[in-house]
This record gives sequence, C-alpha cells and structure tokens, in this order.
Amino acid sequence: MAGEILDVAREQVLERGVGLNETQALEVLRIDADLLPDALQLAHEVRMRWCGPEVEVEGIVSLKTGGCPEDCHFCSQSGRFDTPVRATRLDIPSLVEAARQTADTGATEFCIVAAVRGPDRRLMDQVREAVREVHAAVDINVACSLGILTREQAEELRDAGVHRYNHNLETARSHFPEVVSTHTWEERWETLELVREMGMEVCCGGIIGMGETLEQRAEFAAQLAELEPDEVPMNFLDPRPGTPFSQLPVTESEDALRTIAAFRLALPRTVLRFAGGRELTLGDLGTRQGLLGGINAVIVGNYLTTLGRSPSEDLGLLGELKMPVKELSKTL
Amino acid sequence: MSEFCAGCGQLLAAGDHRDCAGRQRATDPPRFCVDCGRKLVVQVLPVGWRARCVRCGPLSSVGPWLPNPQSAATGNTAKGS
Repeated sequence: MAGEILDVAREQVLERGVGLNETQALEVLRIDADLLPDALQLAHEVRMRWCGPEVEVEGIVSLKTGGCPEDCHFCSQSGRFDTPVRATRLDIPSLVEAARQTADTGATEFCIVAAVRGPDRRLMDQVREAVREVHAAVDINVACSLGILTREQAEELRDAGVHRYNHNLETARSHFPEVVSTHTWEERWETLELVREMGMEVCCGGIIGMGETLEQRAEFAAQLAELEPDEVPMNFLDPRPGTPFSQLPVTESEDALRTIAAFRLALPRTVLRFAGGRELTLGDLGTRQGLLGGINAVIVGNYLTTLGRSPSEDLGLLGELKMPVKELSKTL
Repeated sequence: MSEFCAGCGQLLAAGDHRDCAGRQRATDPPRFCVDCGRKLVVQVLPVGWRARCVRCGPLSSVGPWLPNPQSAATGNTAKGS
C-alpha cells in the first residue's frame, strides 16, 4: 500500500523516536503527491514531539569569498570556474557589525564562512580575532565553516570559543565524485569526526538537486543519520552561472517537500535548517509548508553570494505559525 | 543610462542580452558594473550587500529591514563616489 510507510513511520519515528532507515526514507521520497500533505503533517508531528516548537535562527557571513582551489561543481566561489564572483575578504569591524545585525533579528547563531579547502595560518588568526571581537561585542553563538581541518586546527577553534562547526557532506557518498574531484567524501567525514571529538557541535548537511537519484538522496539521509549531527542545513541547488552545474534544473517544489519530510523522518531529533535555494525552489508557500513539515531552523537574511528573504518576512511567518524563536540562553 | 549589461558585463548595444536578464534573479546582487562592464567585487552581508568597481567606485544596498538607522539612511542600491 502506498501509504503504508506513513503508518510504519508513525509508530517507529513518532512513537519510539527511531529514524527511518535508507529503504524506508526512499519510500517517503517516492510517495504519491496525494499523500504528501500527510507525510508533511507526520514530519511536523515528529519535529514537535522530539524537538519542540522552537525554531533556531541563524545568520551567516562570508569572511573570505571566492578564489577557492577546490572544484565543487555547484559553487560559484571556485577559482577553477569562470563565474562572476571575484575574490574578496571581509574586514573584522564589518564582520562584527554583521554579527550585531544578525543578533538584532533575534538570531542566536552566527556562522563565519570561508571559501577554502582548509584554513591556513593567516585565516586561523583572522578567525580567532573575529570570534574574540564578536564575543566581546554581541550576545550570539559563533559557528565556523572553514573546510577541512587538522586536529590542531579543530582544537584551536574549540579553544577560541567556536561552539559549532559546519562542514557539509553535500551529497551521498556514491554521488560525491560527480560533485567534487579535488577532495573526497571521506576527508570531509574525518573532519566531522574531529569536530565531535573536540566537543564542538556538528553541523552537516548538503545540497539537494545536484543530479542525484532518489536512491542516492535516501542514501544521503541514512549517512547523515549515521553521523548524528546536531544540525543539518538543507540547501536546494541554485544553478549558478559559470559552474558545471549551471544547467541543472531547479528541484521541483513537491520533490523538495518530500525530501524535507523524508529527512525529518530519518533524523527525528536533529535541528533541520532551511538554507540556500529555498527561495528559488519553494517560494513563500513552500517555505510555510516546510516549516509545517519538519523544518525547525532557518538561515535569515542573505547567504554567502546570493540574497535571501528579508528577516522580517521569515520572523513574521514564524510568529504567524506560533513558532517561538529559540533563545540564546537555551543554546548555551 | 546604463551602457553595459549587469548580467554579463558586455556592451548592451553589442548583442541580445535577454538571456542575461533571464539569469539575473531577485536573489542576485549585481556582479558587473553597468557603467564600465567590469566585474564587481561584491560582499554579501546578512542584511545587505556592498560592491565596488575598481574604476567607478562603490555601490551599496541595505535591506529595508536593517535596524541600524544610520546605515538605513543610505537607502537601497545607492551608488557612492
């Protein structure tokens, strides 16, 4: 029966808190359109039961933009592709101001991102200074996303006060070689293990719509479940001019919503965050459906190289949906 | 009046730029200077963006939601000197 997986999920995930496995997640990804509202409703109930009604709000900023030596095929910041993005760095006072503006929206997380394979000494020094200055001036948690780390770098970031580290696996292990050739999925996994070992929270997600099959999408959900990250940012591909993925189609809204439901049912306790590409894939209606279908965190404002919805729109929607914004004290 | 396409940086008079316009979305900050066609240095910030053309100078935009009145006073897509 087509809807049987939802009955199984209700008992397994909602009642017992045991996430769907790969095969089960694939069934949700293949669910008929007429059952999609039921899948989203169940995913919402799972989120409310195992995570609660609060929504975690985050802002992100690019400390180093462009000029990256890696060849992630979705990324306009790779120096290997002819894209309109020019390399630049943000100065620390501007970064602190960005953190202040982010905190003014009610956000509790501020993530500093750099387009690099991994940080060099110069970048590590800049990040340490940035974290120190933000902590001195703004009440907000600081996260970082600086690529592949050594053990010493992970330790240094933890000691600098970075409470969460983002490093996306991006896609299923079996699909990763079609997306990146300059480093491996396993190298990313090793960094994530280091992050956890050092006591920082693990933030790891990926991008939906990079030519992966539904089977690979389910594989990715299962691999994330195995990792047990504290947060999963869910991006949808925004095909950027000049990148190898520039001609890929935008994910259909219904497929995106199926994916949200499937990931929530595979990861009942994690923070599942709306990230880049949702404006393009889901629009206003889909954003609302996602928040009522398993999503419990958002990136507000702009992304690294593209613009997002205004924070007031997202915060207004959360208010309308009676979803309280998670407070800083509860995240420390 | 703009001489160069904001989507590809080429002269507007030099060809058909409908495809460039189609690729330029509301979620894209400017990437090429419309006055000289050079690629801009763009920094996207949580509540706005700023860009600089090495020849024509800075551009900036702040969202209407920006809580800092001093910054908000600069208006949207204001071109500096």
